[in-house]
Amino acid sequence: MLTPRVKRMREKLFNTIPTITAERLVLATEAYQKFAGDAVPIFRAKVVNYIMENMTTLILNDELIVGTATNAYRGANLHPEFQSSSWYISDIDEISTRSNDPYYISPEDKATILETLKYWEGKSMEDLSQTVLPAHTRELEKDDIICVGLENGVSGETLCDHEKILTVGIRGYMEECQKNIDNLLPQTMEEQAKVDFWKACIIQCEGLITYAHRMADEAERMASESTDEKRKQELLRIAENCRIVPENPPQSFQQALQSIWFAHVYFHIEVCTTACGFGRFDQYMWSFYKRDVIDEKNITREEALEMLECFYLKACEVYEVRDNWYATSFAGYPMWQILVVGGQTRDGQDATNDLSFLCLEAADELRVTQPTMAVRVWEETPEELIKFGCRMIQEGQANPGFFNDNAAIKMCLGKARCTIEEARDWTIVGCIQPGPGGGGTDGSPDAGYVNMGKMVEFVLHNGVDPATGKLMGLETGDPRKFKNIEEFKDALKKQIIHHYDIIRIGYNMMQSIHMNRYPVIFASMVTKGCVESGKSVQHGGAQYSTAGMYISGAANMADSIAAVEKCVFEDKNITMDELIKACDTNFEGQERLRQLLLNKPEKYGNNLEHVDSIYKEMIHHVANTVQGWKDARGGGYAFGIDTQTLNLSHGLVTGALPDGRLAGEPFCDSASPMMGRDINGPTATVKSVAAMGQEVLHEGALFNLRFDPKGVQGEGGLNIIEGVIKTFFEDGGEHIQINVVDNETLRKAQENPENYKGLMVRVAGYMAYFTELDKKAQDIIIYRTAHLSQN
Amino acid sequence: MSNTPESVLVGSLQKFSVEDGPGIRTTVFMKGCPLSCKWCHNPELIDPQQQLIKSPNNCIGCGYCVKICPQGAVTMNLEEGVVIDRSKCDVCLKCEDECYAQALRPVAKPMTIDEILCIAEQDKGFYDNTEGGITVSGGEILMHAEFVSKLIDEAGKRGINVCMDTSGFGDSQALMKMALMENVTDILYDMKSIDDEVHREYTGVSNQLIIGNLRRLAANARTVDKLIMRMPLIKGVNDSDDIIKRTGELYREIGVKRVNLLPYHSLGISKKRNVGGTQEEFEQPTEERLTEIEFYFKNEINLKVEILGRV
Repeated sequence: MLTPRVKRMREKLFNTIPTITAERLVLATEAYQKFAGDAVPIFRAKVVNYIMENMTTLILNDELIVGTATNAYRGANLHPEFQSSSWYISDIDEISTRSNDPYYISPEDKATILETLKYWEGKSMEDLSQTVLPAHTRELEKDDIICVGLENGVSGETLCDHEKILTVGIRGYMEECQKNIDNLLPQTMEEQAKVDFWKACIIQCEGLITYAHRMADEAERMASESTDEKRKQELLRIAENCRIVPENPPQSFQQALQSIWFAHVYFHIEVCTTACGFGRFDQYMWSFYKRDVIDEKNITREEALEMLECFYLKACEVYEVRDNWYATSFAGYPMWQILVVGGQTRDGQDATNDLSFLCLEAADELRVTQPTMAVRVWEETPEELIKFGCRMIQEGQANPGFFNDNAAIKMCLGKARCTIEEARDWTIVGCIQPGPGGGGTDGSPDAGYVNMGKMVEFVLHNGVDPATGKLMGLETGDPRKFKNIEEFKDALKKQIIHHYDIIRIGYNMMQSIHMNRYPVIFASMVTKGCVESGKSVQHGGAQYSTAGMYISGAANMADSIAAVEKCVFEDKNITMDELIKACDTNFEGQERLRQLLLNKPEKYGNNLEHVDSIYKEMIHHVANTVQGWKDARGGGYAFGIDTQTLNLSHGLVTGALPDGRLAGEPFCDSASPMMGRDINGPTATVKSVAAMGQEVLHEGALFNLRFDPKGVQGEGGLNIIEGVIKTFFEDGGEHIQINVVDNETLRKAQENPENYKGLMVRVAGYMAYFTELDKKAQDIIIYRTAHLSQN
Repeated sequence: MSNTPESVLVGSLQKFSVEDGPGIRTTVFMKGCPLSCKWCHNPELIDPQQQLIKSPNNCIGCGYCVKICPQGAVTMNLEEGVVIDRSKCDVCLKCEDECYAQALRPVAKPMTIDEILCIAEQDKGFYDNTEGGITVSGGEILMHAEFVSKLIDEAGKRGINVCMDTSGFGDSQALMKMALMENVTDILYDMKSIDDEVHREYTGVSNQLIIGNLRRLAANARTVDKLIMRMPLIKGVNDSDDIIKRTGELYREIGVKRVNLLPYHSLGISKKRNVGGTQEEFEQPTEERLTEIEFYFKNEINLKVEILGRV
């Protein structure tokens, strides 16, 4: 049962539209002018320090954990160092009314923002990227054929070493950096860079401590004015907490939460970051919980639960403002703040504890989209923990997602060549990507995506994009002359790899710019390896550095190959020329042919060996190729299947395909089959998805499954959900997330959104409120096959 | 094309069946049934012979079926779409080959035991994790008693449990032999009406054999606990106080412990139409009546009751 406090806070969350405010922008602009001239890391640190010294200290009613990223509740910052002022300016009028992820801006703030942005014209990373990326790459991006990460965002979506923050405090890091400085007389560029990095770390630590102390002052001021004795005591406790953490190791469960929150919110003030995971929360918080709740009984379990819920609600308060394209392709204000529970310890014991349950209980009661819960499952995971998660799923919460320890450990060993202990200590970077070392991996999970539908179109047109008539891809030969399906597949493989290579070059260029201009200081400092090496994560300072490459439309690609093989080469129902013409005309007047392509060849997702093996062959080819490449800092590229909502934007620009998909239709969702093509039931779908050999994919594969609630009711239904998850994992699947919701509910929510504000759905590795998605994104969720549905 | 000792006509192998016995199951729907229940929800599986079935929603009106039919049995008109003259159709299935939209297809395909089990085995992991297995259903499995016995036996060798779904209208020895097999874990046993007059009128056969077979299964300690009674409930036909009460008393007398209530749904009507027949529409009992019946079996007869198949 939610306490009245948490109920009020939750209500407020639902009733507040996210707001963009001017404060950080104004402070950063002042600081940029003030501190220009210092070495880049020191300069960047001073800018952030200046913000922390001057930003509003906002403590909201009812809060037990404090600290905001901006001067407003549910507020979002603009980061003109990264994102271009040009779209900030051009979008500012419609950003409050756009269909995906709108933000409110007050008239005063809007005027201030527009005035301040004048300084930033042409100065952002995004502006710079457009001047350095090859023209061809930019054109491919504009046409939604590929996208390249880091152009307007930050590298190194943080997965830090939370345990160390709690063990040594920020003061501990400062001392370590100072000692490193004292021990090195820099005589090379590299050595000087190290010293600059350590100095920058110290400055930013000071910034955070200053902010925490200012919050303490504010709490004391509010306490002195409070007439409510209970709240006064709470505020005084908050003040005390802020004086101790994050500077020092916490002395209580509440202080530990506060310390983690300060670090977390700081990531979002420093840069426009996303996907900062909370890592293995039930592990690093356990000793504090155990002491306060179990051993010393300083607080009750219920009090701990309320504190945890206050912490979760803070996680709902951070945003990254995105332009219209990103808001469509990554819809629903996603922040990918994953909180992991369960799994095994570094020495291979089951890691589940009472806090693992408490974390799920808090999510179960609160039903908010952040943080997204992840349950690690292995042979020794207690039945009750799995059951608890399955019951949440059964109730339609779309939370938690389940992860297979065995698959993730293999992926970590493959991607990082780490020790088995580090692999067991994996946690999630991004939304489903396993990273070893419990806070020692910088995953930079977004080097880019390639649109598979376009790759098929390029092969069918010898490199020409039928949408524009321009030669955009690789000339892989006239497909009419292909003698067999192997030649078709070879051409497709070359086409695909060619485009990943374009991403590699573009991403390495972007990474190099980030190294020289935008090293992220605080997040690097708290990632294992960076203080030791004196390098930011951008420079490869983390213990393990990887960069993720992804794919959209994988099932459409495999189904298209199967269709060409069956109908052109085997049964010869149609010539390649006729097929190309039919696709080019969107099957106009050729519905019978389209039905042939839809129904005769095998489709991925039905446990059919041949097409599933085509899928596997193609995916493994991409994975094995790109995973041999290095990024700019020497980290390895890693490959995974994850579309976010790019299946919508990439589908929109792609013509009809040989799999019978019509022009403009969305692609399949992540590793799932194409919507409506998996007709043999969910067990067949699950078998197909597991059959791709996921352990080869170092970034994993995201699998969404939807059940109609009528089919999974009661104890029997719970048993079925659990059985599906366990079997998928036994077959080697890494990740599964299940939406249990019927079409009727979703349609009603489309019509009367006000009655369905809390309805959550899984989009990619994240959850979103269904009513906050735009109509098209809602539709692709409705189109996802609802197993057991009778309508 | 019809059923042979080596193969039977299978309407579908439905994976992820979750209401035909415990756990996740694959249900094998065999064609052919000696009953002709007026509310049958699988009317396309009554006739033991192969039939052509239409799926009008899939039809794109290309007309290839009309052109290819050697018997001239297929015509098209604007109101009804494809029309099959069943008196002319000899189920040669040439139209199926031309129908890319899958609007015309055979109701079933002949399958051997090995073919059935190879597909069913794909989901063995799911069965093992949920205490599921395969369910043999129909049609009426006792029409293929020898085949089904072998199928159950072979499934056992492959470590798969079986649930039988039967009307009980068939050879008693064959039924008992199957029911006693080690890997048969559950028997879904239909109880359409305890009143023989009603039974004759609505199913076309007497229930004497069915009740006799039920008593045999219930009298055997090795089969009684496998029984799950399945009661289709049709408003005004078999949901009266009298019928429910007499049924409950029988259950108490013979000691069955589980019952599934299956309120009527009208999904059979379109399927019947699509194989060239007509089916009367019935009504399902009101929610209130369902709750009363559920309460009666639960609290007065002490049975475990589940209501399934709500649409």
